[in-house]
Amino acid sequence: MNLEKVVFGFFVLLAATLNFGFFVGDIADARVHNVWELFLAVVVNAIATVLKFDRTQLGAVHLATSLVALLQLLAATSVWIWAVQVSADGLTPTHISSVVSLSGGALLANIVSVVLLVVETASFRRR
Amino acid sequence: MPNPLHLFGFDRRVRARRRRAVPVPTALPRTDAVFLVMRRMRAPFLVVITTFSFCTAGLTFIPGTDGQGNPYRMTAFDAIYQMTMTVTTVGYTEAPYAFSYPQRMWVMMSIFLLVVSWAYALGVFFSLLQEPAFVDAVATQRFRRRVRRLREPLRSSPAMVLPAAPSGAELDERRRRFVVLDNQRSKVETVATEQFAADVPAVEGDCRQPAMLGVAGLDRPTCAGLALTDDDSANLAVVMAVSVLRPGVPVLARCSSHVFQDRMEQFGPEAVINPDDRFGNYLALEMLRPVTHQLLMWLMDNDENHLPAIRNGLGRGRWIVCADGAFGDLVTTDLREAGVEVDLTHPRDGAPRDSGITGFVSGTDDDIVNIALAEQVRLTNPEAHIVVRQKNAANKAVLAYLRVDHVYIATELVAREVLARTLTPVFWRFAELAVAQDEAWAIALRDRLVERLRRRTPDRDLLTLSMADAPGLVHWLSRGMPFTLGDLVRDPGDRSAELPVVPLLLARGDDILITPGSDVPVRVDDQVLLVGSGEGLGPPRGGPALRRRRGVCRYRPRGPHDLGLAHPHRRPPRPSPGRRRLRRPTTRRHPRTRRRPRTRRLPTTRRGGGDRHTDCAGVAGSAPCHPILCFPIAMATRGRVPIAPPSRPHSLSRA
Repeated sequence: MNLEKVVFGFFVLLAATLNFGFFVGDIADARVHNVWELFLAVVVNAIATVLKFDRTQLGAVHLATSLVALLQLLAATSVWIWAVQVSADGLTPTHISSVVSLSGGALLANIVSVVLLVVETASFRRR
Repeated sequence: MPNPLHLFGFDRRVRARRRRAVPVPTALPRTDAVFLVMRRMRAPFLVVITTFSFCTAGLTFIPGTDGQGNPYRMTAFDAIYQMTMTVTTVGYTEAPYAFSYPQRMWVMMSIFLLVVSWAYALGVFFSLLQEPAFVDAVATQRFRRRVRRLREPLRSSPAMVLPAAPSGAELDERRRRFVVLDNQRSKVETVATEQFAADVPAVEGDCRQPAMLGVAGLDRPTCAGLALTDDDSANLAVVMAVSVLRPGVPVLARCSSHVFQDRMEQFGPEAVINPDDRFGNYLALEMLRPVTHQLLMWLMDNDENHLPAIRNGLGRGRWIVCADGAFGDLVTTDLREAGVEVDLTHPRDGAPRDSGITGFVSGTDDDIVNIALAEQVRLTNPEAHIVVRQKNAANKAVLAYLRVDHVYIATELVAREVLARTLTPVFWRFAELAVAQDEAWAIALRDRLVERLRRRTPDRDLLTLSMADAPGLVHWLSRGMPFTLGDLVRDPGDRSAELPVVPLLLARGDDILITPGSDVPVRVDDQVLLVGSGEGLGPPRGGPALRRRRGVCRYRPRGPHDLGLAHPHRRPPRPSPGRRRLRRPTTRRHPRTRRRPRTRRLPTTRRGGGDRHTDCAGVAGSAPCHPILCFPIAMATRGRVPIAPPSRPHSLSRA
């Protein structure tokens, strides 16, 4: 068993699960979207992205998916911070729905990433 | 007298197996500098991300108070803001309210943690920038980009070593582009100090790797390989890679042993030059045919020197060669083959004390010892012909004041031969044929050249009478009008005056006519090798003459008067749009030129191009107008080289 691969798979999967956890629920209801889950999703996605810098292990497409996810999550975080800190109305349903939809895009990228991981693992076994 | 052709090994030429072109590899494992950085920066990035998010999260959990003493917890943004200031060691405020003591304790811990991780990341990053692997990767990438940017016909010279700097400088002077690939950094760096006119991409790399040659431009449509390192196996690798990957591309290699020469010749390179061996050949030629030798040295000289002095009678009497390596054996063998009495001595026996010797070759591996030996022999033999072997021109100042007749520097000999073969490929055919002629022929030609061109080393150029290069003449000839070589070398502006130009060789398909007479009629697709002084061949040197010669480029005769016989300065009228197709020399081939003689065409990027005859400065940024007929300077990359073996080119000359 390769510890590096375990760590890699763990972070790729964790990034997707945290993202999913934040995403599920009514899109306009702030109570079912925990900001700490978003924070953790950003951090874990950043770690997953850095882990994918190793080009020999996985293709450039893999890195691209992570970059997309990270970008979307950062955009979601920015909207959240804007709503809480700057906006006069506070966190309105409009804000929270755009945060969640952005994280939904990131979720798609994360799913692609996981699919790539599974495909690679499967093709690795066949060899 | 032995056959000089045999002496030079002109008759041993191996035809390589026919090969088909294959894709040239250009992927090098170490060229992706960015990925190298990213891979090495993974650990530092992970440390920074982890510590940063840990400290940020912690800060939001710790209770604090606002300005009025009410309980207040930092929002995520407050914490990120605070930690961003801390991680970059700026940290100048407590925002948004003054911290409570627990918060201060946490921030203090965060400072130590984050500053350490930040310093670690920066340290790794900057050490990575200094690392040789990264520096190499960046240099290779830059080299690759610069080679890609070369638009002109490229004479790629992979593995050109800088001891052969004369060839680099000469190539540059003739506006031929080249790249330098060497495995020694010091040699690559001298490219920067050489002050070349053109941008010369140079990189430190292993020319044994075919991918490295690919990066150096082997996959370009027009290139030639010059394998000039002093490492035989590296040169062999280049010959191998070029001939297998790009079968049509000429490759010239230097080598220093017969074993490697045989190995290289299996791949059918354009030439394998063993300088020590060739030196012996030239020395033997100088003894057997002093004037032929003098003529060839004069024409091949690249330093624009004057006609070299001649020494007769070198073949009579005794020679002594003092050498300790294979060099001595090679030279003595060559001299004995030439029928000269020669003794080989070892340098540990000291300088030969014999007097009355004809010549002395001081050929040990030590430059300084060679000079000392030569000086000792000079004392006892004031009249002897003394040759000193040197590795480079470092001792030039000393040698200039010693009475040394000839200094042999291997890299200079290689450079001379390489340039003679690459700048004007047909010129080498001339050299081969010249050696086969007799001494009277050489004397006659030398005297004629000196009379016409004076004693300065003439330039040489190859003129192809094709639609692309000489549209006017092709039109003229295709109508069955007579035109002789004598007409060709007359000034287009003043038909009664002859240009200071002498045709050395006329190539018509496989037939070669050496030193053709002025009454020989020319035909379409003939190639004429010309030597001449600058005003006859070279780019026009400004002034009113420039304008006049530019007019020659549009020169398309439609009758005797248009040929300049009656109205020398007449230019053809501007073609009206309706008649344009008929009049403008186009890239389309003339029907007669379709019947191509059996010649090999070197790979080419730009062909034809009638446009450039209306503005001749447009080719390679610097192509001059030919005073006779316009043709661009990068001739050899476009010109055809007759490939007839030297044994049967005389059908014209015998006729």
